[in-house]
Amino acid sequence: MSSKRPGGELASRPLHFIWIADASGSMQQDGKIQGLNNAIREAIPHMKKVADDNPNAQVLVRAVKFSNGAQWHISQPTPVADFAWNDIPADGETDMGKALSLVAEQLKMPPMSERALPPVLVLISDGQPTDDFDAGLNELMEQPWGKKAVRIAISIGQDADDEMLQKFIGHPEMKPLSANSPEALVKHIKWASTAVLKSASSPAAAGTDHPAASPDAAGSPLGVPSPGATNATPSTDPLNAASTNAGGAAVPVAADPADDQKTVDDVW
Amino acid sequence: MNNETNASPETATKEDAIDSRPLNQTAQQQPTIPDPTTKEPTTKEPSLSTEASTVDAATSVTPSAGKQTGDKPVQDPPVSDKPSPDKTGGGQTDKSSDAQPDDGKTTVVKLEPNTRAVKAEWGVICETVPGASHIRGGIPNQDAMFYTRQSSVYQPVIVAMSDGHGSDKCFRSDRGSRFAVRIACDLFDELIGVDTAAMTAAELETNVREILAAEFINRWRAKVEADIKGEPLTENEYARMIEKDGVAARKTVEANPYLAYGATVVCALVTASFIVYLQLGDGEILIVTEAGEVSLPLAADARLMANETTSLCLPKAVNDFRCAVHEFKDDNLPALILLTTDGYANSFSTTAGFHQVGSDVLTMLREEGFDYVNRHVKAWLEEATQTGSGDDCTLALIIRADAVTKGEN
Repeated sequence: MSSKRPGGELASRPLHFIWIADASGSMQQDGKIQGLNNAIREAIPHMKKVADDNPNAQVLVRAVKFSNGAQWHISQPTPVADFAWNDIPADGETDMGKALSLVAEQLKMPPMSERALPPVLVLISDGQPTDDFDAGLNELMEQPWGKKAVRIAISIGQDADDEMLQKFIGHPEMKPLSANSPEALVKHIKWASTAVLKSASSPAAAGTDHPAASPDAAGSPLGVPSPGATNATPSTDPLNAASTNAGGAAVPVAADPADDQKTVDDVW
Repeated sequence: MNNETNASPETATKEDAIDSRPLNQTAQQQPTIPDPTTKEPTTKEPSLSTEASTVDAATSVTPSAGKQTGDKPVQDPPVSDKPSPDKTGGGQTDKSSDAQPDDGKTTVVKLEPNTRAVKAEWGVICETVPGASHIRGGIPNQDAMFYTRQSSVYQPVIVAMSDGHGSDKCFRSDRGSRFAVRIACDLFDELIGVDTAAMTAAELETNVREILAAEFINRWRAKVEADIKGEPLTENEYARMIEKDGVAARKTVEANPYLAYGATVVCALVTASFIVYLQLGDGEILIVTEAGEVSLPLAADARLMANETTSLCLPKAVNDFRCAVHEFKDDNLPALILLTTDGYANSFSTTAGFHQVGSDVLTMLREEGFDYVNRHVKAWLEEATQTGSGDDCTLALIIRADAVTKGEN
């Protein structure tokens, strides 16, 4: 015992935030990949501010890119204060399933710890998976932290596979965020990296619990402030849904006001 | 209670039916006394024992909206320094001045001596601090703790703590946690009055898991219902919840008003013959041997992660209790028992680091003494919540004096 305090090292609770970014060849069209790079880069200062607001959550950011196969673009869980975004290039296929497999591997315990806050996974894609998407998703959902993760999906343009993104979200009431312009993409990414992150790291999540069968657990385990939740109708009886809800963590994506945008500025 | 709350969901399904056997019946036996679920919780005189001493750790058990629920620290005097009778009861029940009479229904009955009885001196230290993130957010301490004992020194000792949920929908969880700790102590007091000498540890465990647990839920729900009847959920409370959680949250709470009071419970009863550990939801119990070995008396619950927990407010809560009975044999009494809400455990970077608290505290008790630990435990919890989880932190230490003084010798 090194000091007169019992126990081992004290530490804030880790909150893993993982970008899962489509780097396939189609992302080269119409500046989509540059729009994605710009949007994430713009979001970083906002993420830092959110993280600063709650010192009891340690926000750790990583990124996976997928095209021909999948690779960690930023492999180390990086404190958001140190996080910098290097542009990803776009080329090749859309091996989304392999990306989910990579993430699944990192959500095992260990390296994840039981005391972590629910991870936030943000999947961004403009196309159809070209590999075994279901296999990758199954690997992800086999992990307790995969099930508990807050899973956000952003579809870019008209060709994105919303059905697959919906399966990733895993909640019937939550839909992929549709980005048809660079501006919409910026807003969606900013929302995911601020509102969702804030909720995940806020006192209501970082320092408190909620009953496993509550709708908190069903739709928004982190209690994300959600104007869209006003229209949400639970698909299951929240009072008897403990078993089904235990694995159904997602955020009410309708909360992003940018999702309502359908303007003449749509370019994707 | 409004119409919605009357449609209590827990009575809607067969699976949710509450076991109503009395505490002294095994699972196979038929009840021989009136069904406890059909009567109101008994209001009894505080004490039938001249050695009674009940200490209320809560600053208040009065249900009132927005009231600070942080519980006042309560500590026993040092085990090496026998307390004076007037400090711990001396025939009077010592309760906080604002405790409600209807909560003071504890009946203390001396444990019938039996062949397994082991008389040992036990000290208790309890402390709770509001979470650092709660302070920043203006959220009250939603943890509650409470303990009772008949003697200032000897068993039985009852310690209970509860963690009120921080979900926006659980906006009265500070009350729910206070109800929980009082009920835990009441029920364990009543269990002491049961002649357990003829029971095996397994039978006793079954009784606790199936009957006491069911009665726990019944009484907690009754307290919640009475609280709502006395002070219905207000539009202001709903408005604050809706602002954070959306309109749908109101329907959810109206369908299950217990949700507003959602809380866990972690408690232990130490008698001369056995220890009962009982828990619903997250939190931790550690037991430490004289050699400083740390173990967990209760099996882990894989559902307790990602800020999700089983809860008293859920329809099938009675099925989610975890229980263990430790029967004394030979010289197997633990030296130290630690109970804590999850805010403290989650403040350590590793599980091993948290478990180390058990052996470290035992060492401190031996090297620095009871007073030292007693004086510093609040600072430990404050450092933990500030540097660690940010959550409310509550810690109880049940200390076998003999194990501590052995070390000193």
